[in-house]
Amino acid sequence: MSLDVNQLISNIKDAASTVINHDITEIRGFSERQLAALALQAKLIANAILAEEIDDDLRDYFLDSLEDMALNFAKTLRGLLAVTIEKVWNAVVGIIWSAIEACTGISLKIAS
Amino acid sequence: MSANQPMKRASTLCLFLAILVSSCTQLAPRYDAELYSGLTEVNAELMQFFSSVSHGTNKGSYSERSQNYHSLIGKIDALAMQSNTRPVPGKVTLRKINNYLDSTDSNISFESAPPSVASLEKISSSLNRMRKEDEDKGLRATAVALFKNEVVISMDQALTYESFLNR
Repeated sequence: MSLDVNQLISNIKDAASTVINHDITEIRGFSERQLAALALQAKLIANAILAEEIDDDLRDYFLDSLEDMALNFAKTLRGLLAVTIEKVWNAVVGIIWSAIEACTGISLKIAS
Repeated sequence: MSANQPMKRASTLCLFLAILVSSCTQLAPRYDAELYSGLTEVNAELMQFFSSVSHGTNKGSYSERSQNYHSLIGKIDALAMQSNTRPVPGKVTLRKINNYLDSTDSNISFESAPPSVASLEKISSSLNRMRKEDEDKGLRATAVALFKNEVVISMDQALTYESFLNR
């Protein structure tokens, strides 16, 4: 049995697209929640400063904190991206393995 | 040259590709159901605590809340440690990816520590600062709302990442 390269390419594209579409939806939801919460925090800090409800020390703390949380947001996005890359990678390898198995009749053990 | 020669070449190419790619890889830690469950439990306790102080506090009654602070901070620190001590897979692959990213001067290298560790450490530092402020001066409702939003942001980061690992 010969390997249909065009079919293989199509299968790889489908597998990658399925993973990416699913993950992007979740990542978009997370990003929107984070951006809304960070914007709310900025608004709360501004209001508290204007109303003199927090002292200078606490104001500086909350402003530094906002920066730390924005950095952690970026780190989390990067972490989510690593998981998505891993899933795409494994989906693609799985498709290639299956195609070779079907073509050669040789059983290739896929490490989990 | 035989008619099926191009097919043989394509098969050989795919075989080499497959060997090159080597096998399934893992770039992020495994999902830890116990850790995720711990996060959801401590999150509920945090929200209960914030609800109880939402109108602000008086430093005179700090001793009534002291144990709550220490209990919550201790639980969060334990979860951060639990997240950080998981085996990190794919170090070789991650290093190769980082070497490439470093060569592009893009400064976006992947870290080996899970991002939830930094988020949990941030929650711990927020609670510590809130505890100190409560003990020294008491807290206005506005300050409580600000500390609560910090915890909500960081907890969302930790929960989202840990849940995402369940692949």
